[in-house]
Amino acid sequence: MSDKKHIDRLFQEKLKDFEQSPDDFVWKNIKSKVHLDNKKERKLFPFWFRLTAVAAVLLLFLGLGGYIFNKSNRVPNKQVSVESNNTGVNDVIQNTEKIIPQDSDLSKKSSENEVSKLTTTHHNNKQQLNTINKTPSPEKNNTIETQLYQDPSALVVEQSNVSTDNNDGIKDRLTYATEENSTIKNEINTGDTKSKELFNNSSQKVVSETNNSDVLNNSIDTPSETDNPLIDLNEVTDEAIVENNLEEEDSEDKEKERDFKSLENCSKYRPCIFQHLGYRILNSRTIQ
Amino acid sequence: MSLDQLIQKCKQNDTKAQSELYKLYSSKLFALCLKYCRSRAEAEDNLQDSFVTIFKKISQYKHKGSFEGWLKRITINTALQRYRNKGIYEIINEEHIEDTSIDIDNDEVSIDFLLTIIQKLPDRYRMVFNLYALDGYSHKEIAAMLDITTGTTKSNLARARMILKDKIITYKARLNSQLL
Repeated sequence: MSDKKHIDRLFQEKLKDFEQSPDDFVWKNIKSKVHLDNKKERKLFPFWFRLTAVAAVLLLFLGLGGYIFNKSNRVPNKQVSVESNNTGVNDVIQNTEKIIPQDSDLSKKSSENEVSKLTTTHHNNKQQLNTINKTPSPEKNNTIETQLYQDPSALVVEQSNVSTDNNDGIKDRLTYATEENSTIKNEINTGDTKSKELFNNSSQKVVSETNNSDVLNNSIDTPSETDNPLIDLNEVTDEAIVENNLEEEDSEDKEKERDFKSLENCSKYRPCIFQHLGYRILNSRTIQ
Repeated sequence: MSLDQLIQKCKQNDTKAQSELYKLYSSKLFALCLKYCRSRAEAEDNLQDSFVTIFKKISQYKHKGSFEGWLKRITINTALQRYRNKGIYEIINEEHIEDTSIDIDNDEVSIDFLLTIIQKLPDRYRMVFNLYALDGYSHKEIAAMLDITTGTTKSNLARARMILKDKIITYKARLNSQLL
């Protein structure tokens, strides 16, 4: 009889070295499956790679473009604005220079011929100016400024015509023009030596004219539209002009501050591209 | 080519190396699959899934412990997964029985017969018997793998042994009657 064994050991001994090779199709299936998975992985990788590459390139272009545009536009814009300002100032100065000789000639003539008329008209103009100066509303000042800025050339033309035509009605205009010129000069930065000289000349002229007029002031009834005494008109006008200048400067400063604030805000809230656009718009506004 | 070189090439998705590896271990692993599965067809499916997993995860093999042990563990896990996924809970007697040693005559019993009676065991019994008697796992490990208690694994093992013994006895009796 055979010896008895534990059933576990029987199975262990019998199945210990048991091996059986599977059919060939198993390997084919494995091969195709592994190959497919690899292909899928290979296909997936380029897809993602392409997507990320495109995104990265786009971002790079946007970022770099924005940066370069901002950098290249800022400096030229500033230069242009400065140049334009300078040209504008020069134009005005040239205009005033053109006007002044004519004025001086004409004013001399007028002072010789019809002093009374001149003085009255002069005073009227001054009073008008005073009233304008007294009123602190910036809108009026602005309107006058704009007129003055736009007018010079027209005034020159008018004055050239005037020199040939009758003197009577036109002298008012001429005197007014001298006043305007003086104010224009004040508006132009007093830092410029040319404009300063011009301003001094014009003020001297005004003084001389008013001195002439003071002689006749006693005999002529002046129209009292304002409460100010006529004797102080010279001083008042000068003061008023200075005040006007100060006011203008203040208003300009305020405008600049506003622009700067808006710039700061746009840099905070706008993306780089729109910031660049906004900067341009704001710049053009400041030039105007 | 050494085994390490072969593994290294398999990590690089080399088809030749993979074929080499399959040739080396397929028969051993197929035998394992035959023990853990109900039929030859299922064993082939299991072998296929096992090798796909092996080639996918060979990069995770850190050369610690035997490579064959790693392959066997993957194959067994695949079989257990299959068993779990099927969710076929056969009506088996959960009544706890004493673990009695069952002895049997060491006669000539063919491997094919032993394999078929193992395959015909209920899933849980087959798994427990294979893991404990043939692959040397402890009751604790088996309980954790199959998500059952150690008491259940012991009971299942005892029942599996009894079934196998009965089948061997009847088989022998039939052989003897045929001979006589």
